[in-house]
Parts: sequence; C-alpha cells; structure tokens
Amino acid sequence: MDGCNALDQIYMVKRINSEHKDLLHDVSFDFFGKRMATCSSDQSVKIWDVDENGEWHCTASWKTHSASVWKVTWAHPEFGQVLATCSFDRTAAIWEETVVENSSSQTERVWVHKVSLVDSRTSVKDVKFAPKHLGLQLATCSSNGIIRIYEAPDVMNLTHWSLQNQIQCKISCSCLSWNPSTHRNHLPMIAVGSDDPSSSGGGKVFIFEYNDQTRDWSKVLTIMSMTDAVSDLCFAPNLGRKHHVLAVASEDLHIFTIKPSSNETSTSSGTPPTYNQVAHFTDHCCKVVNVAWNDLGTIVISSGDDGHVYLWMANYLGIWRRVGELKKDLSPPSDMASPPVEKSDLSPLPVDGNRINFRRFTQGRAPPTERPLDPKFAGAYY
Amino acid sequence: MDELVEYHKVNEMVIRDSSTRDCNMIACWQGGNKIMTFAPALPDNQDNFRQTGPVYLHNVQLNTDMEHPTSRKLINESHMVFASLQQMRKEVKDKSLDKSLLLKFSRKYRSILHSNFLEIRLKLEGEHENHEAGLEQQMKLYSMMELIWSLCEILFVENLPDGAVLLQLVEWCKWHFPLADELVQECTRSVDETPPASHPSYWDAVYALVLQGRVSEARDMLKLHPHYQTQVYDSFSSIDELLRKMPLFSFYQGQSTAEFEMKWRHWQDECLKRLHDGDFDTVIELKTICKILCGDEEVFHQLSELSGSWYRILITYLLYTNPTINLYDLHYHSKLCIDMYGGHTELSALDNILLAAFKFDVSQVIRECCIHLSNWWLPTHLTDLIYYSELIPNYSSENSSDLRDFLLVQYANAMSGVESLWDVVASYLASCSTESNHYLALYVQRIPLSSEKKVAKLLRLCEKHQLTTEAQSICKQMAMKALTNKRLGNALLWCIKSNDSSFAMYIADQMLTEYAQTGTFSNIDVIDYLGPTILMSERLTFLGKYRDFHRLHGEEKFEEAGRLLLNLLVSRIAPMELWLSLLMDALPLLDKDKIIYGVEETSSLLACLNTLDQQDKLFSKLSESEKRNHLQRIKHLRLSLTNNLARAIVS
Repeated sequence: MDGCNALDQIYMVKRINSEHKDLLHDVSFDFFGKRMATCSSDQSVKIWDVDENGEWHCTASWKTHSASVWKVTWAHPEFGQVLATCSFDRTAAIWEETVVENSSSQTERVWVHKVSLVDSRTSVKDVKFAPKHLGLQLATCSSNGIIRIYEAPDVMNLTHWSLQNQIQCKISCSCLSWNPSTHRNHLPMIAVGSDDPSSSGGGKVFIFEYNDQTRDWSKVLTIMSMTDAVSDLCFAPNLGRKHHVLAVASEDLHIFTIKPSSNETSTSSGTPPTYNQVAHFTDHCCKVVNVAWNDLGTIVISSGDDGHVYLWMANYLGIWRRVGELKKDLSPPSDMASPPVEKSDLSPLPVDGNRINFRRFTQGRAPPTERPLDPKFAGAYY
Repeated sequence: MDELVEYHKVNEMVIRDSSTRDCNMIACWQGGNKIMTFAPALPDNQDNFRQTGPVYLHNVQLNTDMEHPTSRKLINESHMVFASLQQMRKEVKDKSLDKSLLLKFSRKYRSILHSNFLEIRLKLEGEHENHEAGLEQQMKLYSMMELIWSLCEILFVENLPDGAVLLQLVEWCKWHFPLADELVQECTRSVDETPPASHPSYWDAVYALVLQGRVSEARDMLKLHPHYQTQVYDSFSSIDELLRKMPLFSFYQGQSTAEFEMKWRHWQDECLKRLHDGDFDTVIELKTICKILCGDEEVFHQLSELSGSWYRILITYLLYTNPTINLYDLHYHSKLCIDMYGGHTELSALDNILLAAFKFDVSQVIRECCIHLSNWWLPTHLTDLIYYSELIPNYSSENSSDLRDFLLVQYANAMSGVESLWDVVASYLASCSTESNHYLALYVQRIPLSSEKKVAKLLRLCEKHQLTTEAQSICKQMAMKALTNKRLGNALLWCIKSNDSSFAMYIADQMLTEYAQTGTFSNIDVIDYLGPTILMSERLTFLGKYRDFHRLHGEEKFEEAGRLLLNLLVSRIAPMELWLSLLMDALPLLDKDKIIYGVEETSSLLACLNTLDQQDKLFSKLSESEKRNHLQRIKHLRLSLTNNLARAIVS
C-alpha cells in the first residue's frame, strides 16, 4: 500500500456533517473562502465559519423559503455580508447579516430578511450577483425562460430593489453566469444555459450584452453547437485577455472562448461576438452537472452524475488536459478506522424531525405562533 | 526512483460517502487548493424523496505538498533568492543577466535544496520509528530535485565555451553518487581486524574510483595492497604509472583541445600497448582497470552494477573514450548507454528528465518536470533563471500564455492554500511579465482582511503595483465592516481612503442623525484630522464646518462662530433638515451684550427662517409633537431675531 501513503500526503479529506435534513442543492463560499453557505431541499440555509484550524462551524441556520432552495450566492463584501437565495417557491430573497444588541446588551449577528423578489411565476432556478464594478445588481433566471436583472439603487438600503430588465428567453433556463471582466471596452455580459430536454430546439447557451445606448440587454450570440440540455455554466476570471472563457456543463464538458463584440464606435454593436470551442471532454460517462473555476482561473473543476469530479488545466500553449480526479466510493465504511486521513464525524444527528427548531430572523414577520394547547389540557392545573 | 511515476498517477482520490443513495457528487472551490464536495439532490425529485441519514460535506485539500512544514523553509528561502534575482534584473535593466551572476543565483537555489535535504535527513535519523510517512518521500524528492538542478546548472547555466562539460559532469557524478566513497570507507574502516585489501569490496572500491575518474584516490587505494612494492617494477607499478600520467582536460589550464587530444591519444596508446603486452595478466583485477582506462566497452558492461545507471556509465564512458566531448554531442552517446541498461522502455521519469537535459532540450526538461514532480518549485525557478537567455523557444498564439508566467502562476497557486504565505504568493504573481498585474489583482481581492495591520501591508502592496481599484475596494470593505460594528469614526476614515463620496455622505448623515437624536457627536474627533479630504463630500464639509462652529463657540470666539454659522446657512451647505438646529444654535449669540449680527446678517437669518417656515414637505414628515415643537421654536426664533434687528438698527 505504498501508493496509498503517497495519496495521504497529497490529499486531505475532512468530513463535515451538514446537519441539513435533506440533500444539498448548492454550496457557496464568500470571496475569501472563510464563510460557506449551504442550501438544501429542507428549505433552509446554513452559514458556516471556518476557524484557525480549518474546522467549519455552523453559525446560523434558518428557514429561507417554503420549498427547496436551489441556489445560494454571496455578494461582494464591499456591500456587506449579503446573500441571495432562489427557490422552487418562485421567489428569490436577499439576506443581510447585521449586528444587533440582544436583551443582555451583547452584540449578536443575525441574518435579516431584506426583500423577496416575487416577479417570477415559476421556479427561480439560478441567482447571481453582478461583478462589483457594475454596482449591486442581481440576475435571476426562472424555468419559464425569463431572465430578470435587479438593481439596488442605494447599497445602504437593501430592502429596495428595482427590476431593471426582463429578458424573454422562450426556453426553460437553468443557469446563468456574469462575465467578470472589468475591462472598460467590454460590455456587461451574461451567459444563460437552458435545460430544455429536446435536442431539436437549437442552441442551449445564450450570450446577452448590455447596451448603454438603449439601456437594454440583448441576445448577441447563441452557441448553436450546444444542443443538449445545459446544467451549469461559468465564466472564467478575465486576466486582461481579449477574449472570455466560458465553461459549459452539458452531456459533456465544453470550454469556449468568446470574442466580445467590438464597440469602438460605441454605437449599436459593430460586429457580433464570435465563439470558438477550445476543449471538449467526454471523460464523464454521463451528464456533467456542475463546473467551477478557481480564483486565478487556471483550473476548472467539473462534476458528473457518475460521482466523478475531474480537474482540468490548460498548459501554457492553451491545450487542456485532465490533472486530477475525485471519485466517490459508496461502499459501507467498514474500514473507516484504517484511513487516518478521514476525520470521521459519525456522531448521530440529534433526532428532531420538526422544522420549528429553525430560527428565523425575518424582519417584520412575527415568529411562528406556538401551537395552541389541546383543549382538554387548557384549563388543567399542573 | 519509481515514486515519481506514482506522484503522477496519484492525482486521483476516493471519497467515502455511503450516507446517500445516489452516487453523484458536486464539487466547488473554496479557494486556494481547497474543494468542498457534496451529494446533490436531484432537481426533479421535489419532495418525493427524503434523505434519512445525516448529509455530509467533504472538504478536500489538493496537493498539500506546499503546506508541509519542511516546504516552508524551501518556499521562504527560495523566495528571497527569487526576489533578489528580479531586483537585479530591474537594476541592470538587462533581463538576460551575466552568466556568472546567473550561476551565482543557481548555486544559491541549489544550496537551499541541499540544506533542506540535509535537514530532513537529520530529522529522519533523529526519530527512527515514528516519523511521518511523507518525510522520507520528501527527502527523496529533494535529492532528486537537486540532481536535476545541478545537471541543468552545468548544461544550461554554466555552459562553458567550447561546450567542454565533461569535467563538470564527473564532479556532478561524484557529488550525487557517493557509492565509491562508501566502498572506500567500508574497506578502510575495518583496518584493525582485516587489512583493507582482503576486504570483499576492496576491488569494487578501486573500480568505482577509477570509473569516476578519481585516479589519485585510486592510486592511494592500490598502495594499500600487500603486493604493491615501490622498489620492484611490476604490474602494480605499471598501473600506478598509467594512472598517474592520465591527462585531464580542463578548460582553465589554458590547454588547447588539439594539444590535449594529442597527449590523450599518446597516453591511451601506451595503456593499450601494456594491456596487449600482458603486463597485467598476472593480476586479473589490474587488467580490468587497464581495460577501463582503454575505454573498453565490454568492461563497462561487466561493471554496470557499480555504475548503477545509464547516465553514470555515460559519463565514465565519455571520460575514457571521448574526453573532449562537446555539450551538443552528449545526446548521441547517451543512446548507447541507455541500450546498455535495457533500452528506452526501461526509463523512469527521472531518466526522462535527465535524458532531455542531455539532449539539451530545455523545454522538454521543463515539460517533464511539470508532469512528474509533485510540486512546481523546480520548473518555475529554473525557467525563471534561464528564461531570458533564449534557450527556451517562445511560442505565442492567441490561446497560449507566456511559459514563465504560466509557471509562476501555477507555483503561486499551489501556495495560495497557505494563508500565511500571502505575501510570497503576491510577490511571485507580481513578477509575471504581462504588462498589467491581472493575476495579482485577482489574488489581492481574495486575501482575507483579518487584521488592520495586514490591511495596511496589503494597501502598500496595491500602491506599489498601482492596483487602485483593488485598494479602494479593500478600504470600502473595511469601512463597511466598521459600519456594521457601529464604529462610525473608523468607517469614515476607511471610506475617505476609498474615495467614495456617496458612502462618506451616508456616514456623515449617520453622524448628524446621531447628533440630532442625542445632541452629541461620538466619533467627532476624527473630523479634526481629516484636513483637505473633508471637501470630498458636501455633507462631510458641512460636518467639518459645523464642528468648527462648536469649537469656536466653546472658545468664546462668538463673532467668528456667528459668521461661520451664517455662512453655513446662506451658502446652503447645510441640509434643510438641520436648519432649525442651526438657527437654534444662533440664539445664544443673539443674547450677547455685544451685537454679533448686524442689520444685514440678521435679515439673512430671518430670510432663512422664512424659507424654512415654507417647507411644507419637510414639515409634513414630522410627528404631531414634533410639529408643535417645530412651530414653537420658529415663533421663538422670529421674536429673538426681530429683537436683534431692532438692536442693530438702533446702534
């Protein structure tokens, strides 16, 4: 088992009990990787903070929606500690952590419900904050194919969000990604993927650009080669490149470069953007469900339905290659004690099935009322 | 040296999670080299499947090589060398530095590697049983890196004129493969019991010395043999003479190649003659030595066990057949030696790296190092060292990046998991050659702002590299943090640094609201230190001036205070909401014996009061009791002002 030794050294795995009562939908980290938000089918969101030893502690947990929470995402810390969530219950919500003084006059941090964005008539599938140079903006996409852009005109008052734009995609949307480029020649850009199952419906990835003149978003590009349902897509951090890099998770993993439209004339875009596929990997034997870039945009990570996670990297010639793999083992943990790398946290979950235990910090709304006593006990003397 | 291959294969790991029914798994980046994985719920199973057991997350840390405590020293020390190399380049303004300088830096790197290697070895010797499993591997890795580095140093950095490299290569062998020394030691150590010559490895020791070209040491060993007699000329004396007279080529002795080659041919002819004359037929071992001296291929085959590897036999072989070998001909001969050791199929990763070096293919060396070594240290620093000496062909196309930049980023990225190394990471990213610091800018945004001291350091870094937007963003975050903790003064300071006027106005408003509610300013002393930055926001200017008024009033400079107050009102700097408070502040001035406001000034004040009286919009916002209060005050003010006007006219 010499090989195993080498393995221990290279990887370290820590197991964390999420304490969620159902499977997770999304995990999101703040800008520094110091805080984590998890959301689950159990309708709640939990906030985790990491301590100096790298251990995660759940510091807040509350019920956010009345149905499964699909996505959770952090705003840039410039705007404070702000979260956005979206759910099957057709809403997206904004949450802010504020310091309050509790009854024993100690300061306490609580998450306050700021606003619910209720414009959607169907399930809101994804929610993403715009890169910070565009101000405090938020994009949502819903399963009936409408993308909505919201903006908070006053960043100090998050209870007021105005709906800036509504874009009709005419096809069920599953994911979106803002282009993070801060280059002044690059127009604000959003990529949207569709999970529409029919492969005859044409391209499933759309690129939208914001035009300053018309103050509107318009579709500038459809990646026609992507005819399979798209589960996730993500722009890479732009490193002063002239083109953008977009990773798309569909049946396979695709990586595209997108040349933005030239707007030297700054009138209605001169040439439309063009795209080029730089990598296409079929290593996942089934659907790819998730893609993510690391901070420096050098490694992309893709997760498949088959329990495999692959890491990809381009060498300096721009040739993409697989550099790592994580695999899930479903076998029962009979030899749990033997691998010392896994810190097993197998303490049984406290057995309480009722959801009343969730604390809610919803501003303006009364806490859930106590269940009335059964009438036959009402007058009893104890 | 098989572990190299293993490192390569091992980029694969298994996460045990039997808590969920489904086999799928999603991963997302935490940042640095950390990944969080979890079992996702399927999007379409809304409410018809409920998880029963606990739901786990797995925090995976990739490639923790750089977090090993032994790596810390390597990272920090090599960073110093790296930084001074960059500094030197900047000062000399010639990126391809002088060869002697490069050599100096290369040796510095190599000594760091060696000292790290020694340290780990010491640690391993100290604790026999319970040392960490990884430590031994680390040691092997370091020794390998040193081997590669020193070969590259000889071939790529030192690169003598005429390409005569053999003597350096012999030294390289001597330094890295101390087998001969070990054998000699083994023989001589047991001197009390048995004479060294009867030790079983006596002849092996002599062969090993001759193979490495260490003739004088070999002669010393031979002298220990009982049959060795100085008086009688026999086979021992004969070999001794041959060894003594063996010419050594050295560039520094001022010898010309032709001259040396003539000498060499002469000497080797003599060796061959004596071999054929049967000088050594009586002592078979001496015959073997003579065969080595003659460059007999067969004998190298026989002794291949003593040489150990193809590259060592290559150097011995060249030493005795082609001592003036040119750097560029090494490749041709290496093929022959590889065949001696089982051909190309038997080559390990390390062999491939060394072979590429012997081929003088720098890009291949770097490529192989990237693939096979478990960290980016060697390729990164080696590339940086020789990048500007035009050894590496420069590819550039739309999708490709600069090789040096690529490696610097990879190396920095591998370290970015260790938070305390942030300044080292930033320094490497800042050394990227692309015109603007995009990588640095990205990284700077991700550094946790854990303490004010760190933030100050970070801001200095931003200033040095002209990362203005990033610096402003950091200040803004600090301001936001202070604001949530209700430290308004601190928030104001940060917000002024970030040059955000609307945010400054917000904070100034907060301060004024606090004043309106409590009648005191809690953090007002900050205002006194602002200086000209106070002009950043109109509200802030007002706040500063208003503060001045209070100070003047306190110092009983009533005339100046009065003038200032009037100015604030007339110039409309003051927000309308505060006019009433300002006018009320004027009241005590009206009661003074000396007339402070003349006719004109009093009329202006009255005009202001009238304007305020007509602000229905403002008035309607107030509550009932406030409205009553408001009206009462206006009435009172009007009376006082009229009185003052009368007094002013009379006087």
